[in-house]
Amino acid sequence: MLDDDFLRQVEQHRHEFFAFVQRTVWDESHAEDVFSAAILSAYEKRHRFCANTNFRAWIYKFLLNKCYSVNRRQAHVSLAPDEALAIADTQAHVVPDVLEDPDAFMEYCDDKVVTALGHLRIEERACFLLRSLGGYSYQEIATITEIPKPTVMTHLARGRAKLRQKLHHYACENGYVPRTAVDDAKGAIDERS
Amino acid sequence: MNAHDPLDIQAYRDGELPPDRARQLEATFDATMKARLAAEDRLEQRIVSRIKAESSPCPDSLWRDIGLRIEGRRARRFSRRFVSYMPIAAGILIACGLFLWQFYPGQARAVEIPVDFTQDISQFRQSVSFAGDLPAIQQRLRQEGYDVRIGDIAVCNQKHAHYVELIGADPVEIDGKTYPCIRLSFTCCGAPVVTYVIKGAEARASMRFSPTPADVNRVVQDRDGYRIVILSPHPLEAVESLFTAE
Repeated sequence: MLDDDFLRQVEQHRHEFFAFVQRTVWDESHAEDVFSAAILSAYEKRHRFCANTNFRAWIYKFLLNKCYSVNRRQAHVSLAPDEALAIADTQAHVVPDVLEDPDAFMEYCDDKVVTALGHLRIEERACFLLRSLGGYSYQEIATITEIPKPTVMTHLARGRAKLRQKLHHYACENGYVPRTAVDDAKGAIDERS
Repeated sequence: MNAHDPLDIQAYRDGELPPDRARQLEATFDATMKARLAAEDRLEQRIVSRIKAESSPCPDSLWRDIGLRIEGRRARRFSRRFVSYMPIAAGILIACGLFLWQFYPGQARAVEIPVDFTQDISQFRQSVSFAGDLPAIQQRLRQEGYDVRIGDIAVCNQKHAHYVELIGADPVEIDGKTYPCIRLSFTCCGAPVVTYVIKGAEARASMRFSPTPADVNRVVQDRDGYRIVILSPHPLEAVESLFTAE
């Protein structure tokens, strides 16, 4: 790949790549350094890129690797609890009232989405961002992250469940009243009357 | 609802199930499940929008800096390559020089054949390693792969009023190496005449006869791939008219 082709293709997606780095590194202030290091590293290895393959996905590999190494060095600032969530439990983390009216619910926690994302483990976050921001298939995510496809699915399910759980927590802190609580209150009033 | 595998549901939502499996799964969904899936999609949509909104674009200054660093690396790589290739280039040049010196049929490797007419005629006769008459010498020439015909000496003598005598033939050997050249020794009117028959363009170009004293006559004939160099202090017309290519 020629130097100019490389730069042109990266520039085409640079905002998306940068956003991914910003949301994947634990300390956002490292995003610029990580982004630069990843792009320069990809540039040095550009002759290894196979033509007719996905350039974006190839760049994501470099971005992710750099994010991993920076996060490893910054492990102490991680917000992510080192908890393993059983797949069956991911359903339990879907708080029913959140799905009653997602828009109303989000009014209470919209500003906490990025904070909630910070509580996901890096693999969960990477899989979630590659899926939701990058629009990659499970197989493509597996290739980028170099982890098996079933594990990608697991990380994705856990990441989504944790995200909702955290958002629910923030929403409640901001005055959101869970439906179950409303029902309980109604029940108490009915009983009294 | 709980009967569904969570990973199956997720794959269905993400459009990752094969169409048959997706249809099969869809058939089991009740209205509640459908509403729930729609709400999950909506929730994720909101989450993603928020993530996008909170992500700042890649700063132009950062992108310019990356561009400059790539330019710098490009320049450094070029100079590094230039320096690292210099020994290789020098090696190639030396190899080419050696090759030309060894194999190029030019000035690179001239063979110096000493010309000496200081010895007397009896020493000259003794210096010949293969002596014989004309048929014997002619046969020797053929055996050595020289298709050069030596003409009728008697006719030649009569024509030029000289007395030519063929003495012998010697392969030219210098420092133990045999060259594609054969020396024919004659006498003409009692004076020594040497004739070098050189075969092939390469040998022709590289053979030198030196030093050729000022009082030594020299005739060079090129005939069908052979160079015949005739040298003698004596006039050469009788010997030079003897040779024809076969």
